[in-house]
Amino acid sequence: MEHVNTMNPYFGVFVLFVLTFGAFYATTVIARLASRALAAKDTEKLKLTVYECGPEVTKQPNRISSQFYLFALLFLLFDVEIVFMFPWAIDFKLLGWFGFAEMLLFILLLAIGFVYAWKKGALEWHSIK
Amino acid sequence: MLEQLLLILPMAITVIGAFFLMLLSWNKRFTLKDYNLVAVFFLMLSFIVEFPQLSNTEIIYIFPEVFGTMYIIDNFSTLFDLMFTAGAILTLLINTDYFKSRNYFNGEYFALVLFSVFGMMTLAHSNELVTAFIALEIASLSVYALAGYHKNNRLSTEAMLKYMILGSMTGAFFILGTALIYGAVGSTTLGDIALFIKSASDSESLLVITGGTFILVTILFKIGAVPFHSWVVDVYHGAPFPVTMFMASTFKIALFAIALRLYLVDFAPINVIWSELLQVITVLTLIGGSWLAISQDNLKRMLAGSSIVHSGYMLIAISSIGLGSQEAAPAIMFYLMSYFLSSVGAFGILSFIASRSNKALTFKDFKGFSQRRPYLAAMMAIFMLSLSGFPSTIGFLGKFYIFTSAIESGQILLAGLGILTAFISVYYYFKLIAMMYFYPTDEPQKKFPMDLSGVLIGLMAVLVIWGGIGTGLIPFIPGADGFIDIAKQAVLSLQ
Repeated sequence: MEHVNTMNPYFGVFVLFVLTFGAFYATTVIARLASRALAAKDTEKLKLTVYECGPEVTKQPNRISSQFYLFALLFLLFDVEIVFMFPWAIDFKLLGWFGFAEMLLFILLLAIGFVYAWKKGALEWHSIK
Repeated sequence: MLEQLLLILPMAITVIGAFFLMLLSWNKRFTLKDYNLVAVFFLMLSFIVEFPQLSNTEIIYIFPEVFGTMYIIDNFSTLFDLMFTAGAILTLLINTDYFKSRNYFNGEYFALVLFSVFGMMTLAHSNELVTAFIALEIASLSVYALAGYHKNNRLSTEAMLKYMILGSMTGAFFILGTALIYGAVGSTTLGDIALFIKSASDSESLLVITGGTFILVTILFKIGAVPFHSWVVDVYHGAPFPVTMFMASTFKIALFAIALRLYLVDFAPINVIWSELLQVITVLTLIGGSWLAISQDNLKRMLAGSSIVHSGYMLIAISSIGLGSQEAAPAIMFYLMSYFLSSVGAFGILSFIASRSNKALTFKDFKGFSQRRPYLAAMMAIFMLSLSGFPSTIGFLGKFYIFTSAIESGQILLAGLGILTAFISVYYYFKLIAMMYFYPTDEPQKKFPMDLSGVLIGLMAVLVIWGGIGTGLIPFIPGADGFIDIAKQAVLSLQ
């Protein structure tokens, strides 16, 4: 068992660390107690409205359809597929048949995803099954 | 080449099964039972193909001319693979009734489970940091989607959002750590990093230490250690029962697979550096987890809190590895096994009851449960005894090995704290046993339906007792000693 090493160069920093957190905690507690004791507890209608820089608060008029996200995702799927095919095409002779089989497998995996999205109706507007 | 393809066949079967289920899922002709059977069939096939590989003791790299040493097949990874597939099979079979009783499950659910198992298997086999990251993300992304599977439920959606945002953020720490290590070593393969650490001076390995700490943060988050535990209780509560079961048992095992490989092989010469950090986190995890578990009224939340405490016990053994204990790594694997058996059983009983009633499953709902369903109550009592580490159950042996390893490496105070939290855990586990046995019931029931879930849960209960006392009673059937030997052999194959 060792004693607490006060000679450690970082011991002062540790004390400061503890003090800072203690002061922070004390401040929050005091602020909460003070506001509870002093604050006026009116519930006027105007006081409870959302602050919106002056204009009246309205609902968002034009909501964006979630269909766009689906299309973006599907676009990304095929975009990335093409990006991977460029370096493969450049080194086609070097990679040989093994590379060819690998690329076929890669396209097959993406094709399965495509078929799934198609059958699920993700390519038609507003008709996710 | 064919031999090597045969070696990766278990993973291939799992991923093919996942794609097959995905394509099957838009067809309206199939029922949930069909999907469940197909998923279990693929997992079972993978398990059967994998099982003979357990006797293989040499280290094989798959397609070394293409992948180098990225993808490894050894005894250690095979053992973990078997645990993942067994966990997924049990989760799917025990919850058959639960799937039927809720209307939001469909074919994609089973595909996601298989994808997740595939990710975990790849994680256990990866011998390179970027591969490990991708495997971890495959597994995590599937689990995020599974956690929010009840789309119209507020709790489930909240669970998914919390888990996904926090999980992705800590996932970024892993890739940042990888980048720092690459900056110092010039390679992300585990063998190269180990070689670099052996020859590097202190100032040279500073970046590796920083990177290793970042990777540790990700692992600690995913197992729910205390400074990173804020998601655990809410996510476990919000997710559907089968998913909670899958996360608490199978996914947690996967994280320890990569943690053991990293800190036993990769960072082996310098992992003393992290042991002080790990000791502090262990103390926080044990105390904070116990506190969380005590204050819960809902059983699902209580089990979630107690899963944090169990992570804490395993963290004791991880810091013992750094301090040079030989017994620590097999102890973690044995503990994972024991926690897996007990928690799958406990969650299984809860989901079995939840599939028949719409109660919130608080402690009060279990009043007089032993009179309503004596067999289920007895099994629940066994699982609770095992989770609290009562002698003659497998949970006791697990804790015994962990504390032995801690004392062997000189962490006597930490072992003492572990024993203390084990006593505290008696409070919240035995509270349920007391509720079940010492209160009268208000709705007597005399029917005891037998079905697959009940039989499987019974089997788990038998295994829990068998692991605790069955050593050497019947020849040719391995008990607890047998498993610790298998674990030791697997750990030896790493070095």
